[in-house]
Amino acid sequence: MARTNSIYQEEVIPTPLRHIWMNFISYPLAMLGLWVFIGFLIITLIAPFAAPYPPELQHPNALLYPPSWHEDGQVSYFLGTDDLGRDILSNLLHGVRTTFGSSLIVTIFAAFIGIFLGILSGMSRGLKSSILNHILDATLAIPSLLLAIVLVAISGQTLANVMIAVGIALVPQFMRATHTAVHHELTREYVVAAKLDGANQFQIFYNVILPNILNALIVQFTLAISIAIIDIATLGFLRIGAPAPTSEWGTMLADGVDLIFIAPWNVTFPGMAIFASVLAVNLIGYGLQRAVKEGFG
Amino acid sequence: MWFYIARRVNLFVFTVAVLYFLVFLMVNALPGELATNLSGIQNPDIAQYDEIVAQYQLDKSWFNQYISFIKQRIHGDFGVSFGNGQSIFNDMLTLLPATIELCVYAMIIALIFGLPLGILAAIHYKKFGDFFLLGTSLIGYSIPVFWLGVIAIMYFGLDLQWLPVAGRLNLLYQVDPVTGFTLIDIYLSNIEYKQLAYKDAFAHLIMPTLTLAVIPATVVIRITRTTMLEELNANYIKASQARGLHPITIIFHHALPNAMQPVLAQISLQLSTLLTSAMVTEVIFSWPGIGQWLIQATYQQDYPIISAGILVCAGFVILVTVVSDVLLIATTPQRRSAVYGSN
Amino acid sequence: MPLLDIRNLSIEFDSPHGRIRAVDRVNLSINPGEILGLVGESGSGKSLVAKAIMGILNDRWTVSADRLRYNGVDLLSLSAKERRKLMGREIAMVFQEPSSSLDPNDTVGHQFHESLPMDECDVSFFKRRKWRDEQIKGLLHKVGIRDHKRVLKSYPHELSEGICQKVMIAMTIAYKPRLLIADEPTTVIEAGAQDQIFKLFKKLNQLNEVSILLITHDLEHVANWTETITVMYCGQTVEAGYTKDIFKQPFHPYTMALLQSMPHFDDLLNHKSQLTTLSGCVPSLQHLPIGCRLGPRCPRAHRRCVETPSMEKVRGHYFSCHFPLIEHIES
Repeated sequence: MARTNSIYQEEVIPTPLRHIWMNFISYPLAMLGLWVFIGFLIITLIAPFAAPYPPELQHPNALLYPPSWHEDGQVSYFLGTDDLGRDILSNLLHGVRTTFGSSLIVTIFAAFIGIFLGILSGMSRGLKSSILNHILDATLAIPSLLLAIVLVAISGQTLANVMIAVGIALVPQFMRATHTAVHHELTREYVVAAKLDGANQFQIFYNVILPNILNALIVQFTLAISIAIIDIATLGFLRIGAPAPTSEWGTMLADGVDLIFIAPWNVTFPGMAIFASVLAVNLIGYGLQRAVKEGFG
Repeated sequence: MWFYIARRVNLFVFTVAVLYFLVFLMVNALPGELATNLSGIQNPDIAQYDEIVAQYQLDKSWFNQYISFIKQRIHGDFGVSFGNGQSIFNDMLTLLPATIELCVYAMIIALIFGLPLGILAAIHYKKFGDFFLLGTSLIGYSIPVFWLGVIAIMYFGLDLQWLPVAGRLNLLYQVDPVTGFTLIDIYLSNIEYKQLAYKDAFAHLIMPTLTLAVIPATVVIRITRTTMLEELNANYIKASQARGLHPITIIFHHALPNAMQPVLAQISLQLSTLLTSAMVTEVIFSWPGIGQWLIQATYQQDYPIISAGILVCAGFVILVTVVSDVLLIATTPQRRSAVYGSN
Repeated sequence: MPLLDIRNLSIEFDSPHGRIRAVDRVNLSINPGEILGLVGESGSGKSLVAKAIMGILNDRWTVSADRLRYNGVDLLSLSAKERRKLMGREIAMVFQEPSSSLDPNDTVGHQFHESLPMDECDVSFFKRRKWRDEQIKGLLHKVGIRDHKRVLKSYPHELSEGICQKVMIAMTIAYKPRLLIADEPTTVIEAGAQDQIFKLFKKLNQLNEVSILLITHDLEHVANWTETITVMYCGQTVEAGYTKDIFKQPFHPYTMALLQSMPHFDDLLNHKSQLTTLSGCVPSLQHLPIGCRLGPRCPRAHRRCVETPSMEKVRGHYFSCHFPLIEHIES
């Protein structure tokens, strides 16, 4: 067995990624967020099998049943029913796919496009960078809701269009975050050193810049997921979102507002679902931020 | 410094030009007749059609169309709405102050609550106070604004009957809309019962403003905490401690002003998110502002209003960003020299 | 009686790897009117000692000592308010990077006004501002800044490091302290200004009886400007005594290595010969050796060195080594 002559202990230094992961695991709140997130992911996949009833199915003789722990409630309609007799639990579970699942997909696509464009604009200099920056500023200034409204107005009200609209609203945010991160990295001296070593643009980007901006990007990604969930739910609430038969948490909330006095559970449960999913994502994001900061401190 | 301001103004002009271009593209993509969407006149007769073509140069190249689009809008001609045929510009003048009022008050409340709490969190770093504040701000950040508004209405408005749930002012009070900002208008008007009018306006303001202020407040708390932590670990703070300065002096005279700059910079970035939340809040509380107007227009597919709304909202955001940028540069010497030194 | 008396000062902090003792039983003492040089490499804990004396360490660090006395007053038992009164009035500190020791968004003049002592001001309220201006002008001239108007109007980043350091010194001597701790005061300053600052220290020491604790890693400065030295390695005191004695005959192997590492350009060096250094490098905080921390690198180490050697004294010359560089010890 090879033995070193050094009398110092061997120091196993974990890679930064592993360090961040170990740090992340030690925050119970962040882990809670992670578990809830995974829970939602699983529901996204198994919702059609887990829901007791099809979401649009109306039960004419079970209108406005309160949740099962209420004295008038029934276990078969676990969280109660709405004014058309639709089971709330099934609607919530299917809504996971619509609100949560589609926001994940949207964020992933927006991240790819936004990060790619952001890198292009970040690595460019002078006039080109200036122009891209101005375009970015202009797009960022438009409130995301308005952008989504216009796009839905142009192309009609379907779930796919809503997803595209929210995605397009997210792209500038990714661009802005990536652009700032890349620009910041370019001022560092190790980039100058790499350039003096003879690296071309792509090599500088891949080997020097990318590993260092990865952390900022991951944090931005979690932030964007929470924004996407809230945007899709808001559009649903304003009834500009996914059209009627699709169960969506925001739409459920909007439907429940009329009944808020006689059947408040129509408003509470969808709201709690949105709150829980956004909170979980934010907890993960916060845990990551802390882990990243302390990983290098 | 004037050089920098000139650059900023140049930036403003250019960004607005890009904005107009984007909206121009959008208007061209909307379904229906281009002439109708631009001017708002449905089914125009020959004379009107010719006039529209002349105004917007629809017979020439797209570049001319773009330029004349800008010209028309700058002169205040936003067309008329599909719904009621009224001039959009006049409608906007009455509605915009309402939204601005809501946003400004919400931002002020967010700062008033957020700044001290952020400083507290930084001072109690890694102790209970810090965790508690962070937890609260995380929770506040995760509550969807419409849920919060609906629950507030249900509880305070309907259940306890403490606060009114809709509108800006009880119709009993006939206040002339001079500036559009209710509190100022009450002050300027000469009705009797001014005290009661103030109370009423205030009661109408509380719920929407507080609902809207939650998310910016949490953002302010987080950012203030981060920047204060950075400042409190800086060298010059240690040096002031070594000179024996009182901790309160150190925090408020040295750490806080330096920490404020990133906070203010972040706030202007939050503006478009704030507008989105404001629009939803207006719908819930039936607040007569731009947001509610725009949403109604969306239900009725009133395209001129939608495009005008985007121009106004985004233009407002850009204006505020540029103004706050200039103010920031004017008041912080370090940034100024950094600007001159580098590009 | 020594002005500053430190016995067995230890500074520890909690890390994920356990409790780390960054500074291990350090001894230090300064007499009134003396210039002491605290010498060591980066990472030897010298700045920590200085900050512990001033009391400006974070909550993360735990400071314990058998004796940490200033002028007979036990510093560890003071409340925060009493500590604050002591700092700046009796003990003053000057830092390594002077331009970052000043608030970057405030003019130098404004900060100076803030930290000027008002105890001796005996003029009426309206004349106070003028009195302050006079005081500041006097102080700045004393440290050698002639164009005080320009300096007072500028922001810290507009001034050179040398001028900033002089301003910092002026701010500290406003309170007429008896002990001045200078933590690597001239490391970032150009050579001409370095000389001026040391001359200033010497003037303060001789005219105003200010004791100076000079923390540095530069042996030349120590040789020229100090009367006594304490050498630290990796958080432990290694040798202490009069500068002349130590430079003539160092007892500890580390001090010998330090002195040998200064290239003497008057001797004829062989072409492309290696500079003399100790092999190895300073151990990281997570893996500190037990006993004498120089052990793994020391050319004279034996098995006995796993026990920390205690401090011994020979004719006013302290050292802690089991195998010092003297032929015989006179007990």
